[in-house]
Amino acid sequence: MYRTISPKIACIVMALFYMANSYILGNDRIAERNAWLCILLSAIAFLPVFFLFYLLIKRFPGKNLFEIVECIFGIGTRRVVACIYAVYGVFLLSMSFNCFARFVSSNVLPDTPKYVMAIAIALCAAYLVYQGAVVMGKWGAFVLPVVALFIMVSLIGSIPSLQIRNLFPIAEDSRKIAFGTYRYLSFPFGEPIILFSLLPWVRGTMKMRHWLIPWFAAALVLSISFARDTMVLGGALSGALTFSTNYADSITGYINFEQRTEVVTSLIPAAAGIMESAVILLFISQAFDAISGKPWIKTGILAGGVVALVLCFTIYGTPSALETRYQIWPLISVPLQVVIPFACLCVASARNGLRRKILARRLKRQIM
Amino acid sequence: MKKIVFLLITFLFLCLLSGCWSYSELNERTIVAGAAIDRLESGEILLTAETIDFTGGESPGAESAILTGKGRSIAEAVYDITNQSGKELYWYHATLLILDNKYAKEGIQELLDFLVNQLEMRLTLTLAVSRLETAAEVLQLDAHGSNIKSFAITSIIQEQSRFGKTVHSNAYQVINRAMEPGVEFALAQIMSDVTEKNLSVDVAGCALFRGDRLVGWLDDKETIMMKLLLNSMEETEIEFLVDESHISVKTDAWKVQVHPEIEGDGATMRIAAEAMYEVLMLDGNQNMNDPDTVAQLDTALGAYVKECALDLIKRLQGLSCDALGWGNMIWQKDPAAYREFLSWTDVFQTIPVELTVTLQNRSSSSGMRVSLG
Repeated sequence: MYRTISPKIACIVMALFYMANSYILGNDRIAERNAWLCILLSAIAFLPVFFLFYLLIKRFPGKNLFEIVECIFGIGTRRVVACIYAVYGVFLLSMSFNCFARFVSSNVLPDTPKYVMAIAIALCAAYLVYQGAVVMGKWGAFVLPVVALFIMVSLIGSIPSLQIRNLFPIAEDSRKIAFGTYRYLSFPFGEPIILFSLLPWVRGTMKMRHWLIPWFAAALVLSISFARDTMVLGGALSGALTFSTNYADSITGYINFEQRTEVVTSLIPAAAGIMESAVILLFISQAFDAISGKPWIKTGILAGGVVALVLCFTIYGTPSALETRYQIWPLISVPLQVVIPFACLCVASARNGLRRKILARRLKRQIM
Repeated sequence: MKKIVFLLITFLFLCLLSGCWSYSELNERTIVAGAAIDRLESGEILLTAETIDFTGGESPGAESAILTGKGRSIAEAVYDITNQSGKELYWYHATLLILDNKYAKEGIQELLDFLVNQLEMRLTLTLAVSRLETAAEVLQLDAHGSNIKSFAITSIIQEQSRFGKTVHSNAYQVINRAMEPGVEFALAQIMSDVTEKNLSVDVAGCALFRGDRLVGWLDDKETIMMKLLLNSMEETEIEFLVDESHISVKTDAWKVQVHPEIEGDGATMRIAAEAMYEVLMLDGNQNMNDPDTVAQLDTALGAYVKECALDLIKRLQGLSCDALGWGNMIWQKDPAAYREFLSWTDVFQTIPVELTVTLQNRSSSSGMRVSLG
């Protein structure tokens, strides 16, 4: 039985992680009618970060984030960094549970209590993590075509309702576009650092394209989806609605279809949500391992999952609470994506340079 | 252990597969086809819902049933109907919402909020304004003999809108226009017409809104002109007089280009309209094979369309209702200049318009005369 996944499968898991998040959770409309443009700009702006990730994993192949930190800074720093990322992961997971549960409850199964959906997603995600990255990869390979089809059908269905005039950017919105681009740098819930958790299971090397293809595919899906919402609903209305995608779907008649086939469609967001939650849960369990120094996978999954579920219905209890946290999130998220990996790379490069100099000196002495 | 966990998850999903938490059967719901909103003298809102009754009677098929509820707000009126009928109102299939003109004059902001925030309300609802004493009366009129009048009236609005005689405005389009700067909206106008048997629905013209309030009406001819200037119509029939001869033409391939030009504190609208036409009917002695006659007709038709369009613009300016969305065009083109206008409504009232209309005969052979007797 294989215990590793190929870079291609890792790509699929990444793509599903980003696409599910971006399509269902990407409802931050700070730039209103220009949200689609901000997504593309922020996706491009994130390129240096992926280059940073690429250089880091090239130097430390097959290691997760905490193992890399340990190699460079030692066990003490590893524990501190793991604590920070464990808290970050739990908050992210709780937000993810809340959004997926809210999406399903408010659009597909209106009367189903949110906690039922959230617990179901949490249980399935925990099962996937417990089974390991190979099962997660298989789940991804099974679900991705279905999610892609779901998104394509809804986009194609809206073609007759598109008003291209609504899409044109307005000059006075340039500040909003700049701010929106910064906000989307955190790519609502598309947190690439979390995907370091998959690396120990990847067979072979992750090349730059393996990072970029899923990222741009997801950015394109979200951008097209937002552009579609703006063209269908109009600039002002699409900017004012949370989950504007679902309103646009309802205009195009897709929701009617969805009602009839709710058995299938209610599972699709859930399936994507399961993958996203599983990846975050895997990251949390690795953080627990790194804190304790022992393989605490069961404890990590249980503790991380339960705390995230509790937070999901307390601090993100209401849509307005979630909205408030949307505004704070980029301030926390963006530095966490960049600062620690950058520090790791800088210190590793400096040490490598120092080691080379010492070796060169020694060699010189021996020759002389 | 793995099998047990797998089975547990499978059973958990089986629960979700049904998709029916707190489900209600069809017979526990009242399916709404359309509704009318009236403002009563007491200030309360009267909601009249046309519902679909499947209980049947002598005739097969669905029958229409009218339910009414009162309340200080639309939500209260909805609850009132639910209380009376003992069934939850199911709005997913509703297509039409008719507004009483008195209610529309007071403003429909509350209604637009309700439509956006109420999950079950459809943003695809067609909105219309009743020209009758009350909006509820519309649901009593004959609508092509259809059992479910709301569905039939929605179809009539769609059909009339295709010919340009009215506007077909969905709730989401109205809400978006109400939120955008420099643009107002219009809704279909519903009247009654006396037929041999009884009063029937007559949809023609539109109701104009400024902000969220009804400010005036346009007849069907004015509505056609408005839709032409909005570039939202490709073909229409026009009847006019040349040398006391009655001529009917079918125009198509309309291309209307509107260019706002901002000059200091004001702006000028430059409009160029082009179309092709063919003669459907003429009752004079014109020879349509004669190039001079065709040229004369081109000029006369162009002048007629220009006159009608300018009349409409004057009327809209008189009502301070920018239903043509010119303010929005200026905002899109130069937002800073738009913001500098103290009040777009005031600018719109006096905005100079330069309009050129060019109509070309598609084929003079279509002007063949039919000789009688």
